[in-house]
Amino acid sequence: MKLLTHNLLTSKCLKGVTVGYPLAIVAKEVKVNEIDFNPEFISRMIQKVDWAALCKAAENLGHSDELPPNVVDDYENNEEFLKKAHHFLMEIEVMNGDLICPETGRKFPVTDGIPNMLANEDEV
Amino acid sequence: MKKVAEKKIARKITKFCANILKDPSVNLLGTFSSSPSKDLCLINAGFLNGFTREEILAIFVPFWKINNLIMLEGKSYCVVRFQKEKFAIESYNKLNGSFCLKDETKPLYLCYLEFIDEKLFSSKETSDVWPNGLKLENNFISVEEEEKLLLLTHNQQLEESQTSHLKYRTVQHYGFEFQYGCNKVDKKPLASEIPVEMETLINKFLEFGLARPNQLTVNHYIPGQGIPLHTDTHSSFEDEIISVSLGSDIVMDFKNNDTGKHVSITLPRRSCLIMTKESRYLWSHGITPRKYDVIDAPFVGLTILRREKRTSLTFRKVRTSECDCTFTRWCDSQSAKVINFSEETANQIERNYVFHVYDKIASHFSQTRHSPWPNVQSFILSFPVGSLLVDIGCGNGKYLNCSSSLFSIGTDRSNKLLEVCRNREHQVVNADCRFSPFRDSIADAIICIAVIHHLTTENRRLQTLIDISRMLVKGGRALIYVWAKEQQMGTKKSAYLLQKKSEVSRIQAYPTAVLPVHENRTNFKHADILVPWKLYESSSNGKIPENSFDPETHPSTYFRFYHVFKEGELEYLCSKVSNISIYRSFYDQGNWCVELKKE
Repeated sequence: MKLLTHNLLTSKCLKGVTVGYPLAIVAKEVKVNEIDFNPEFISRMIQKVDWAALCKAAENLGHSDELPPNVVDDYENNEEFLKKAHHFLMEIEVMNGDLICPETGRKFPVTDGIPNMLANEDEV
Repeated sequence: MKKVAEKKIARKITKFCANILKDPSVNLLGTFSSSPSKDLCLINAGFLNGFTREEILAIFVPFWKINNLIMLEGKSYCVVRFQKEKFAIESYNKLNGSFCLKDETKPLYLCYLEFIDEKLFSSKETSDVWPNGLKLENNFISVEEEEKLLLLTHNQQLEESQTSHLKYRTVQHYGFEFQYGCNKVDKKPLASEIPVEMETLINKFLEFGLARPNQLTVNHYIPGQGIPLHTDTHSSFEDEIISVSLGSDIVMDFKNNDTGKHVSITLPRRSCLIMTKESRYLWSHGITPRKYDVIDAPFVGLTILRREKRTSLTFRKVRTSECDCTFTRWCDSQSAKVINFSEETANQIERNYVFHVYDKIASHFSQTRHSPWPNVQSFILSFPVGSLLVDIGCGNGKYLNCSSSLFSIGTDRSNKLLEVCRNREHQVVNADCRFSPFRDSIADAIICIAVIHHLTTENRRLQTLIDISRMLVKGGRALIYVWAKEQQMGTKKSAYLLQKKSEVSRIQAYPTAVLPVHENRTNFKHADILVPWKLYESSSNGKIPENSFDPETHPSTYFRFYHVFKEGELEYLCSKVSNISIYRSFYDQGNWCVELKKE
């Protein structure tokens, strides 16, 4: 599970959960894969990304203060920023661990890179 | 004395007219007048007094020509338009105050009308429609043939013991017995088949392109007898129902079961009526018991048709498979199986007949699903670089690497299929397609290919579409594919299809649900079905098990639940979702497809 994927996930599918975002990450195994850098692609993705949630995810993985707290102005032309965003969004993968609903504490396991977001029948 | 009576009549009429004018619902009648016109208001002769059109027409038609009779619901009067003013005057003079309709103690009063709103005459009579699929062939048989058939059926009637005298008519059955109580056929054949003497008539049907019938019902009606409105049960007979009229003309009533629309059609003697499609499946037909019919004959206007002794020959073909008509609300073959599972049953069936099965067959399934469908691929390629694509029900992920300039995420319920995706380095999440775990208004593109047909209820399928709409960004587009019940468009069969005959077997999918099993490569007979997947165990471990026979003949069979969509059903479902519009819809290789756009 890339952090970009994580950035899109919510636990809103649970009954009674209104926002369910962002999900906290408790990682047991993290992998880094090198991915080709595409500045145009990353620039477009940054528009979708909830930056604060990305920072929080990075923090959960022990990368405090490595990302600027806000998206910088004129990021499209800031290669250093885009590369950093690329690394965090695309290259870091959580392989095993748990995602935790911020409202209920419900754990969603991540196994071999696959988050299991299935709720039980009595939870929806 | 005469003068006193006239005054009394005039007083009654004045009082009555004053009362009518107080009724705000009447504004088409015009004004009451003392000077003659073609139009007469008949007081004490309305539906409210318990009279029928025919009873009122019967007063006039034998003596004067009438153009029209308007009777209004819940009124104690009616309006007659005569062809000539002269006729109206004659009727007025003869009947006013001195004539009582049958069983009525109050005399009939008449009053001329002026300035009638023409809408009064046009509103009722122009609504007649001809039921779709109904054919009437006049002079289908000759006078000689009619005579022969009448003689034959009457002789048979005298001999046969199975002739039954119903309350309203006498009936004989051949081939199979039609049970009028429930409008079904008894599928146990009768000893008496259709008489060989009917062969000439049957050959005429065949020449006409009709199928050979194997059931005949002969009805003998004497004037005053009829048959209640009914639809021959779908599961009992095939599409074509043929009825030949002998001995007398008759008016048959037809009623659309959906709209309640009513139409009366004159069946002349020696004619052949063929009910097919909508007229056979969606409409009821019957004959009102009475001694005469009123018909609107060309050039003549309304006339009375006296009924004579009539014999009808109804030919049908007994159905051997289930009815698969499109009028499912009225179809006993299908309504019994209209799926309305409880949530618990729905969950169980989806678990046992979808998710578990895909887990079992994942690797074999994945081997057979490698090439993306071209229309799905071109949809994906239509999005600009940096767009977000979500594939709901991604299976083995064959669409997740269609475009490297998009960020693609797949979801599925089958962990085994998701593992296949992960081995190909795709981003995937295990999730229910009804509750995708993504933020609102985030996806530029969503595909949901061959997924929602695995959901067991309409509500669950709708939930998925609503959730797709939720996730789309404004202006974002989604592509939905579902398996079509129609596996043949025009003469072109889908690649899936290979015509062959089959019998339907059923499986108890859940204590409360028995589902029909579909035979692969054949037309779909039902909307909710189990489709077998044959898995050759030997191929999974590469070895043929010992003591086995030909492994080809001993595969493990898994059943997947499918709801196959009828034409228009997917669009209908989408129309229930707010904030989206159907950008285009099409048929692609046995699938119904829509492309949706978020408003």
